[in-house]
Amino acid sequence: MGRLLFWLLAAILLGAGTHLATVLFSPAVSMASVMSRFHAAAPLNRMTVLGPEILGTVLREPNPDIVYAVCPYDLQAGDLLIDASIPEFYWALSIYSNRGDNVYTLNDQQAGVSRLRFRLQLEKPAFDLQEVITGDEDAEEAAEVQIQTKDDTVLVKTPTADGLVMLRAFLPDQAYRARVTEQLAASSCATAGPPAP
Amino acid sequence: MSRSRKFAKHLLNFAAFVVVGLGIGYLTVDLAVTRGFDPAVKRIGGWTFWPQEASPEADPYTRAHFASFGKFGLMQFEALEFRTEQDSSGAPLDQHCTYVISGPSLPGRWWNIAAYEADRRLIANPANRHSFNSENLIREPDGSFRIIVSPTPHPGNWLPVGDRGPFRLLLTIADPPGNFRTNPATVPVPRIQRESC
Repeated sequence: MGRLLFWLLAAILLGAGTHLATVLFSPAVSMASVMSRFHAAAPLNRMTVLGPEILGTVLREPNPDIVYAVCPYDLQAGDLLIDASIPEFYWALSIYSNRGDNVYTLNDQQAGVSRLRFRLQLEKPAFDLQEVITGDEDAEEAAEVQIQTKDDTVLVKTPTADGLVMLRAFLPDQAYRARVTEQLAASSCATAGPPAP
Repeated sequence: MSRSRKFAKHLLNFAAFVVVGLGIGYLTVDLAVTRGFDPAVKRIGGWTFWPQEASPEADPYTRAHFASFGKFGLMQFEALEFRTEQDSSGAPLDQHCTYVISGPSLPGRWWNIAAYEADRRLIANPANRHSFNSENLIREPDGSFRIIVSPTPHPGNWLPVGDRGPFRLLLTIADPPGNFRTNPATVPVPRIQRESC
């Protein structure tokens, strides 16, 4: 009896361990494979409109009433500059970390213009020795100055060096596909080169 | 008992422990990640809604759920997504059957209902139609709508499906009103009635 209880308890513990390990670690593995699917379909740091023929191979649950454009990014070579051309119907720009987290989203109504530029930067790690020494007030001041001097560009920070920029444009009807695709294709995405000293 | 019999018994016990332990792990992950549980998932009129979808603050279960199929989702202030794999009586959706989806018009910038295979790809069909949205569906005189999901052609808003296997419906409400976000139970989700099989 005691032995059965021992094995049962051990099995429950193994079950709990398997459960936790799967829940906590499988998302990173799955998202890494999803990101590699995007890298295979769209060049790095370039905006690519996903046509219907390719959509199904990279996106799960694609919305058939949306035209998507993606730019898989890697900020190791420097910031990413996004120049967005905003179509006439609903539009949204979403920035994802490599975990699939939606770290930033803006839609056309919030943007209020037909063309908008973004600069995507890697967020500094939470613990920064330099900041501890100099005090973070200086850094905050510097960040504010940066936003002010680039007032025509929206500054966005992402927690991971790689991830995905996704543009969504609504198709009220399939008849608009060519028009909306053309408007979306006028958007671009490019690396800014190494940050200025 | 001979030594070899004792060894075999231990081996059997160990094998049973591994099988039962991994089984418990697998079943509980399937329950918690695939189906989900409150509060990670809300069930409204037979539709499921994951409030933390795509959020950087998402709980591990929501994260694992969406990572399992590589979804780059939208946070709920941008769009609400309701999914269902069953009709309003609780029976699984079957592509062989004919269903009527009906409901009142929904607020928000736009909304649509799309049908997917169980693996979340669009359902291939000769009509090349996968969804109806708030702009392109034909409405009843009172503004409400009726969509007929069927493998065979129907007049009106006919959403074609294949002729076998389960399927899933996804309702997306873009730019939803604030009260839908704070209290998703108030969303008048459409009814799905099975007409024939």
